[in-house]
This record gives sequence, C-alpha cells and structure tokens, in this order.
Amino acid sequence: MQDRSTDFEFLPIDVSFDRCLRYYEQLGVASFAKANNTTSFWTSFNFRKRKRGNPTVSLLTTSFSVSEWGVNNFATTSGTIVNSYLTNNDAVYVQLGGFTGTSAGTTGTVTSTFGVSNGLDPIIAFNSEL
Amino acid sequence: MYKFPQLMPNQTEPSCILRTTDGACIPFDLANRDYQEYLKWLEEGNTPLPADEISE
Repeated sequence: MQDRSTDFEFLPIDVSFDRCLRYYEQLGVASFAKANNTTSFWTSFNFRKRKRGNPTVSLLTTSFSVSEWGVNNFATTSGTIVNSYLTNNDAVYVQLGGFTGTSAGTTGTVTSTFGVSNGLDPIIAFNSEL
Repeated sequence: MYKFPQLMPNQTEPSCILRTTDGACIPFDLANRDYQEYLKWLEEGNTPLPADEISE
C-alpha cells in the first residue's frame, strides 16, 4: 500500500463538469406546466445528467412565473414545492405552489421572474450529494 | 421539522417528505443523505406534520 496520495489528476473542464452533474444541478425554464388547482402547477424537469440517487428538490428562489404566452402571466413571490417525485432516472415531476388565480387545466411555461435575465435564471436545485 | 406533502390524485402514499426549514422535497431513498437525516429525526421520536389541505 502506498503511503502517499496519488498525483492530482487533471481532467478537462467538460469532463469534470459532467461528473459534477451526477451529484448536483440547477435548472430554470421548465418545458411545460399545468395547473391542477387554484394555487399550484405541475411541471417536469429533465436532468442534464442522470443523478447518482434520487435527489432532494429545493427552490433557489420563491419568485417565479408560469406564463401563458400572450394570455396570462401567473407570478408568485412566495413560491413553494408542494410535492415532487422522480418519474424515471432522468426527470422529476414537481408541483410548484404559491400561486393565485389559476384554475385546473391552465397551462404555461415556468420561468424565473423576468427582469434580471429575461426569466432564464435557475429556480430549482437537485441535490444528490454523498 | 418535516411535513407530509399533498398527494397527487394518482398517489396512495407520499413519495417524499417536505423539510419545513427550507421547503425542500426529500425523496424516500436511502442513498439520499437528507433522507438519512430524516430517518435519524424519526428515530429521536419526532413525527412529521400532516399534509396541507388541497385547495380547489
């Protein structure tokens, strides 16, 4: 057995980043959201990289929107996670709460609040760290 | 402190537990370190809060 550590292994940034994504990632815009009652929307997020285990889901901000483009914009500053579950190893369903004025069946796109980055800031984190 | 989530219409039992301090949703997966902390919390004799009522 060696009595000293091995030399540091230099890896290309893209390889290191890819490996990091197995443990943690942040995502912003979700592809689709559908209201299932007056206060919450179901949406799904696809991981860029499969996680090492079922991740903890947490919000990075309580301010985000669901936009029915050209029709309505449902914004909240007190957003919550109501529920979530892993649909397969590569995606998770998340129920986002804290909205008002929606009705079951309303659809739209989840984004962070517009202004700083045109709504493209990440809003949610998936943590599967050891 | 932890709280059960509202169930989806097609769910018969919860798939995660909500951590009230930050609102995180923790899946029931032994590989998840947050779930391991939750199990330790249960072992200490604590009980999660019931789920919020579903608004229509």
